[in-house]
Amino acid sequence: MLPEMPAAVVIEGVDKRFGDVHALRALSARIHYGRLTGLVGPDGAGKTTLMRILTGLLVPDAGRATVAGHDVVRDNDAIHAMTGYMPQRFGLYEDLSVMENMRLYARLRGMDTEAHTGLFAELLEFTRLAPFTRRLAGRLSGGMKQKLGLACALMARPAVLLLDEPSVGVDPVSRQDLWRMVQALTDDGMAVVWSTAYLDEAERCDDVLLLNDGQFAFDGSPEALTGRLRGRSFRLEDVGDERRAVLARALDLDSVGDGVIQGTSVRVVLRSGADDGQIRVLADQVGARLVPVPPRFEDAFIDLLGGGPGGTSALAERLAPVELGSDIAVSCRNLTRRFGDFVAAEDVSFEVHKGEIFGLLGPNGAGKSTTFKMLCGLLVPSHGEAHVVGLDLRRATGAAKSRLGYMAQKFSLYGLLSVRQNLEFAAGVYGLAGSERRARIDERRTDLGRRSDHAARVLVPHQRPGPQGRDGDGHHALHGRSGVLRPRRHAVSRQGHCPGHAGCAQAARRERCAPRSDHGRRVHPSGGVCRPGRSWPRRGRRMSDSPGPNGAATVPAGGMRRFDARRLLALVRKESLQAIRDPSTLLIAFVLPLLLLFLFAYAVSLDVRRIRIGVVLESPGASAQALAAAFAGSRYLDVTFAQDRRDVGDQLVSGKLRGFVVIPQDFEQRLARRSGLPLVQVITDGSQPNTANFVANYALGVVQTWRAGGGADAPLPAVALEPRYWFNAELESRRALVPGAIAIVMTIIGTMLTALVVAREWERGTMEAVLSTPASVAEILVGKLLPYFVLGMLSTIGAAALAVFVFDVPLRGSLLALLTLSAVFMVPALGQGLLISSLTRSQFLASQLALFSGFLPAFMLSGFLFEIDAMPAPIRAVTWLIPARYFVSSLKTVFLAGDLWSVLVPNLLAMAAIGMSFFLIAKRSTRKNVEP
Amino acid sequence: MLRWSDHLSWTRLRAQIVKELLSILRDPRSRLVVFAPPLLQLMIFTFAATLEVRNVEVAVHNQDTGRWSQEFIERLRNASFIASVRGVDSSVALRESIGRGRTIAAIEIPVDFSRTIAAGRTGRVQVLVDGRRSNAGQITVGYLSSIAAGIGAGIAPGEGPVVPVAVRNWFNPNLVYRWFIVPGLTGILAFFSALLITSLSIARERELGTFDQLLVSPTSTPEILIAKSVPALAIGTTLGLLMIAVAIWVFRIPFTGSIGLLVLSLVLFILSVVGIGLMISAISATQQQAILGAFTVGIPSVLISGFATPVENMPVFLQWLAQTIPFTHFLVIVEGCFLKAMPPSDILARLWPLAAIAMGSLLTATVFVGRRLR
Repeated sequence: MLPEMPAAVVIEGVDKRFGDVHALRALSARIHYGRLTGLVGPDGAGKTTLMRILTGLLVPDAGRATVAGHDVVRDNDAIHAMTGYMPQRFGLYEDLSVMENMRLYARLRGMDTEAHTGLFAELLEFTRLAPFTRRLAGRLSGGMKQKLGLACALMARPAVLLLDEPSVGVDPVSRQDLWRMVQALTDDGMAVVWSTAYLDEAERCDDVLLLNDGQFAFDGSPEALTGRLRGRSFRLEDVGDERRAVLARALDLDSVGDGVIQGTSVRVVLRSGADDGQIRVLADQVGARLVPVPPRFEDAFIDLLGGGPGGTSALAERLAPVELGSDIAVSCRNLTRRFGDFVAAEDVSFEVHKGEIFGLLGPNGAGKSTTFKMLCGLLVPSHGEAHVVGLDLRRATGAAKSRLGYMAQKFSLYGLLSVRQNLEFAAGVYGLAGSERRARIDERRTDLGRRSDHAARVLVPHQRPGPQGRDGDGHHALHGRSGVLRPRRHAVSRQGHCPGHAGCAQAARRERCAPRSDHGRRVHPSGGVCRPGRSWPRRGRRMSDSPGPNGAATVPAGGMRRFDARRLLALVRKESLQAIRDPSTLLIAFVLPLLLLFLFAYAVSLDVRRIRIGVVLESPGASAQALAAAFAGSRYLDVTFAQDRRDVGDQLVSGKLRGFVVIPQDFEQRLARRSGLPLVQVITDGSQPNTANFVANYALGVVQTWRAGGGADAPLPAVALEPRYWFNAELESRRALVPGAIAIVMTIIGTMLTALVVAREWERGTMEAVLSTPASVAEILVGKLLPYFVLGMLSTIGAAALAVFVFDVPLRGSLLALLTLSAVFMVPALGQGLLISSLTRSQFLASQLALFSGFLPAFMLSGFLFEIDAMPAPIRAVTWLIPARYFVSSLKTVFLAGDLWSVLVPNLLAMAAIGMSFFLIAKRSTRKNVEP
Repeated sequence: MLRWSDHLSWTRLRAQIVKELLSILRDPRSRLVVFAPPLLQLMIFTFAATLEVRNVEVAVHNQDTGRWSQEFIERLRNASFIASVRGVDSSVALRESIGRGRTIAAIEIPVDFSRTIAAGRTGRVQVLVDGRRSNAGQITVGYLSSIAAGIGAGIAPGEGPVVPVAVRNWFNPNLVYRWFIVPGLTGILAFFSALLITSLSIARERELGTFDQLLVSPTSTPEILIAKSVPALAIGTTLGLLMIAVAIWVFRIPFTGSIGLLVLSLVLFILSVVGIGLMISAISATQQQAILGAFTVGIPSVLISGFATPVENMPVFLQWLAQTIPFTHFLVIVEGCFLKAMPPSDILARLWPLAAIAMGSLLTATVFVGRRLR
């Protein structure tokens, strides 16, 4: 490589803080093309923060960084076109299939998927995902998800590939494949940055950047790192049965920095500058041979970070020894689980004894998680049984479960709670109280907030050690405590080459501290042993366009464009698939309108019919009887007769009657004398004013009609009104309400749904993956909105058809006007949804905001149910800002009156103006990064 | 033999309740979003939600030059529900003003109006009403009729009772719409808050992957559900009480019933809403499904609860359905406690359905959660 060749990545004085946390402290480094650079460090060192800065997802507080010659802040778009990024958290769409995810990312990169079937095949072959292209990503095993993420990151054929802990959850076979491919990529001149907390991975890199507590502790080759430990590594051989005691004594020596059990030996590393005097004395005391050994990368690493833990584990010391009734802690017999035709685990049998760490090994998709879930009682076995401490956990009581610690594969702490609150929760759920709880909480460490979702899964609640915690981990767990360990990093068999392998959960017993011990035993369901095999093609692959030797690699055509129709189309297709697959979308777009229209047509009619009233007939006279009969004959009233006012009064209180009419004792006299006294008294239930009005009016109507018809000489009125109701001659309130219901549904689809789907992308972590592609903010947002726009329009058409053909609402205007109105209304509705989603990234908050700023105002302030004219002036002013107000008025006009453009045009303009301002504000507050 | 303590342990329960409360209230923004909007909405909707008619515009095309038309227009100008009377000079303009939507009623007074009245006959006036606003239009016609009747009374005094019926409105003599809307709104807003909080609770844990962890821990299904119910119950009840306080002391709505019974009913009401929310949450795979499910249940619930129109006017099938909706019963209780001094016996008649709904929905939710093992 030419010495003057410019660096692929230049980091100069990069500094980043999150509140009080100083995540990165003035980092400077160079990363070169054609080399595999390991970004190594313990959990929480700042690896992910640095990765995100390099992909332009975070902005450094100070300093600058360039990737492929482009500044990560200024040339943000170029960065996304030039780099491939695989986030730590699974960032693909779980409700899309493998192939759909791959197509999406290819198109986001501006690639023509038809022309790249070769690349697809290659990536699928490499990741061994070819048999699963139609499976939804959410149903893939943990490792397969990771491989799919990698395939999508490689789709870019980038000049610089940034992999944030890519090997987490990937089985050893795939890990080998991954290495080989990354090697091939660097041979082609690509710069690959591989962040990891695993040291065996770091050792295989060409260069190592050792990050600790936000600073680079080392920058150079792995050999240079181990060179520092020459002459400081020893092995105490033939220690005998007291390995653990010897190790503990060794670690308590001042001169020993780190130590670990290796089979029957104990391996120690001396501190920098210490001599071997103390350890020789110890070797003599225990009768062991002291042999100098070559330094390991791991030793150098722990030495640099300040040594390993002391000889005695604080945690193990305080944990009381576990007492079990039997020697067997866990037993499985012929466990089998089928999902339809698919056999996830078949005939798995094993036993774990007290004090053992048991490794359940196997490639991705072998059935490890399935077995685990059956063990924990989360899945019902199709066949066979599983017992933990002699109990079937599916039926076990809380007391039994409290003896089990479980750590799920998926990151499963409460993100909204602090570390301590999480611990307190766990302590409480496991029934610890008082001082015991406080003591235990103080011991535990969690890694919340650091998001390192990896490391060995140990059945001790909430421990996920990084490199420094790793050695101590063995001590914690081995203190007379049994558990099940699912190490991720030791190959036993290779997938795909063992006949019928998918359903084979490999069980092997091994001891954590002795990687080469022959305790390992592979249990194959058929009794045989899986024979490893491999088929990764070795021929050189051109996975990337070689970056130009002149530094700044050329950006692929189309990558820089701010708006690209193909990318947009890909995003739209993705969103549509998600929308269609979720039954709730269809529920809200088609079932809810049907329900609402039905209710407005039959339930919420404001024309009150058959009101229940009482008639108290106090007068025995014939006229009084006739009037009472007139009340009973009214088709608007449902009459109950009573003798006593008190009876009906009680029924008014309980709500059984809405009013009552008293025909007084002196009714005949009043009628005859024309004394000016009213003929009857009407009492209404004023607690429901609208109904009370109807009661009064109907009663008046009955009396007047009876007088006019009964020959009783009523005076001629001087002025008579002849009302004619335009647009709604029969005065059916449903005709006025049904168009308003459409506005409500459109508001839910436009505002609520869009606010939710954007917040969901943040919450699930898919936004990070999409943001690291060349897709622009505008494309991402439009891609999200367009499907819901279409959905809203379809829903409108459906609701309009229902209204016209089923609920007998006339459509006097044109269909074109209706569609234009709906389309324009979607602008403010969608804009408001976007605005909400730019304010919050949690679906809970988004739904609350959408409810209170979108749905309820559309319901209450749009003039749909309640008259705007009757509201006080300040609230009338607020209604001018509610887009639904204009839509409701326009819809009523189009349905009932026709295309009155003098009404429609001002409404259209107002909706468009409000919508545009929502979009402008939303755009200003949406950034293309993941800053908190 | 299972012991009681296997199903319910206070230590475990407390830890979960703390977690649930924190996950809703830890974030200051979330605290704000839970409490501020409902109170704000109560303030706004109290004034907005009215079926009264006020501030309307009426257009008049007067072809008559006589005294009675002047008298009529003058009375229109003085009517409190009319904000402005617009004179137009043609029937076409009259129709246009209705079409534009600003004018609720357009009155056409014929040439011979005053002459007819002077002759002792009935003067006829045509009123065009905007049928798009059917309810307000109807009420407007009612008001206009009484103005017209007033003119008649001025012409022919002593001709028997002007209005043959005397109307008295119990509980709310002046039919103040606010007295009706505010007690109902306290229920609606508390209902939606509690429904959304609970319907998201399980779905969120499932979506984010913490639910498996919870199921494996020693906690029992009843504990999980109790822990999820408590925060929503506390928040919903607090909100409800806050709003009842606002109704009494800010809006000065008479409170005539028993506050103790109302609080009891509120707790039972929120509990039954929580049960429904948990049912939705238990069958939802994602938060989106839970929220949209809550809406699909929530909106129709309010519509057929009797808040918009009396239950007895609905088809029989819907009347039955209304009995299964907690808000139907709570609405009767809250209106009764505020305005009607409702006796305990009437309240109890509405309390046991609430209790039954709460029991039923919580049990169903427990079964749904328990059946999650597929």
